[in-house]
Amino acid sequence: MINSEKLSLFKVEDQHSVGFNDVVWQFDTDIKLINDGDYVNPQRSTCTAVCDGTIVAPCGCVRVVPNRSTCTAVCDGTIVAPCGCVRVIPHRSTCTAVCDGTIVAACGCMRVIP
Amino acid sequence: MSIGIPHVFECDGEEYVFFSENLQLYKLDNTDFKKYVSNNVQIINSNNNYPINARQQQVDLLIKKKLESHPPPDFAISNNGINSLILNVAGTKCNLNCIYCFAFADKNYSLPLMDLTTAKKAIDFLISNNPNEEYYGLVFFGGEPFINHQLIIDIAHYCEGLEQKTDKKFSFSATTNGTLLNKQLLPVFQKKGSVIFVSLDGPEHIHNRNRPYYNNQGSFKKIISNIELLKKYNINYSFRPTIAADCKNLIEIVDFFEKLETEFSFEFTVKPNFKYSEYTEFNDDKVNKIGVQYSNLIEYYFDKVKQNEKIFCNNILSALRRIHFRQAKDAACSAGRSALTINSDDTIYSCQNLSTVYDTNIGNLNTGISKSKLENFIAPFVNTLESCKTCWVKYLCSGGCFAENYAEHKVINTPIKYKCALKKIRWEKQLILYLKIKKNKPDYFKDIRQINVI
Repeated sequence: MINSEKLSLFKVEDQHSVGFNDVVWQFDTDIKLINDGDYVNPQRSTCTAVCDGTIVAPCGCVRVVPNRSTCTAVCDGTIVAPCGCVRVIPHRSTCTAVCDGTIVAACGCMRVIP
Repeated sequence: MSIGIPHVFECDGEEYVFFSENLQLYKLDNTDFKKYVSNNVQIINSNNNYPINARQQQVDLLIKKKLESHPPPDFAISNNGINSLILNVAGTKCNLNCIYCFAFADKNYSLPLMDLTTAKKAIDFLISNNPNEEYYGLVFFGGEPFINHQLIIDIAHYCEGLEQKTDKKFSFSATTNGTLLNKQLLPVFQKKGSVIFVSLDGPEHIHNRNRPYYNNQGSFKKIISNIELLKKYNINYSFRPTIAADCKNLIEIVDFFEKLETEFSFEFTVKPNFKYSEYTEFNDDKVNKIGVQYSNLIEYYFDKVKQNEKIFCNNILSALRRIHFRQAKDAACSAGRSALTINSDDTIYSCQNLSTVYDTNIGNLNTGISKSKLENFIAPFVNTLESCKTCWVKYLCSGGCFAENYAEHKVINTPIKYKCALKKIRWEKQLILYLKIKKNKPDYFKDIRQINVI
């Protein structure tokens, strides 16, 4: 339902609304998220070849990829898949931002290291 | 999830806001939203003495609800399994005399070359203490690791023997100055998963100023010729330029690497070498000048995107990805959690950047790791750093390098003032680049994961 009592606070024509306390409220202008990347990407989530296990950089940075118990190669800036795919993760030695970036395998599997 | 500290900034004459906790980015063109941002977010979250009128209070709650309707940021997960060793095979020995070398952090701690006995002991220590791992990474570090090239070859043979006797597998990497590559050594790095990082600082006049031999001759030409060797042996490699604090033309440096069409990542100098602090130590003036250059850098890369040119700079690509996917890091690294550094005197360190300071060791290969020492030198989480808790850039910067903090302050949890300033400048500029691309070429981000794959 739309809360008519409070509706006067907003212009109704834009139809930008949120649910709150079982009431739909409307904004006069949409507040739109700009950096709207969907990191739960199906392409990534179906990856099994490359992103198995734990990724560790030489500085000690680490990333565990959930549900990947068969853990594949972990080394300095490089990840190796059981299939043999190899990809270099650049920017890996003196630490800062070590775990930034995306790992992409030759097979197309990929995993973002936040 | 709290919204955290808002950071308001301008891009092309328009106002935007970035929130520290959820890493969300919005245009600030709505009156109610502006009021929301200008209010004390912490007071809103705690519902404590909300000092605004009832209407705005209601609006703020609605806006908060709206922001929370998006998925939370993607956080890294920490692990406690050690499966990587950084072996300081060269000790503190090096054939170059770089102006910013942190190996001189402790003048009284000079290390010899590592021998095979220590190397084997280190590898056995790694396996015996982490027996459930199947894959292990060995990183050859120094000094200049390839000074001790015969040890690296011997280590590779030792690992080959272990691979034949067990189900364990190894891969190798090295950070090198690139002057000492040879035909006997390079096959080690043809092993699957291996890589070499070459410390090349840019065009000849910049590199040679930063990284001369002890006789003051430049090392640039030798490195460039050795790159051909890396190509010939089909070795995975990338460049790791270090930017000195007195850098006058960042564009010249990145353009040099972009034209080489090889991936690279740059960082600014760490703890200044006492010998050359005039070139390496930051101050307000140098930070401001880097800030101006970073603005130019953003325009440079915006032009490349507009012209559909491939980008090889991983600092930029990584930043764009992290902003786009709202990827948070709650620690700058996991030193001591997943990797250890071993010195030639058998001492163990959480981080290679601390390994030149003896007092920071966390144990040795003979007696093992001291838990209490490890706790003192394990990479801290950003929310445990008092000065970072309320910083807008905390989950992007992640607290910075704790080894640098130690070098500067003798404690790991006090960030360096100028490094904080640089981080804020860099991330604001990178947010601006993101906005420019998003506005002018939104399709760029559809393929962001496919960009720049080696």
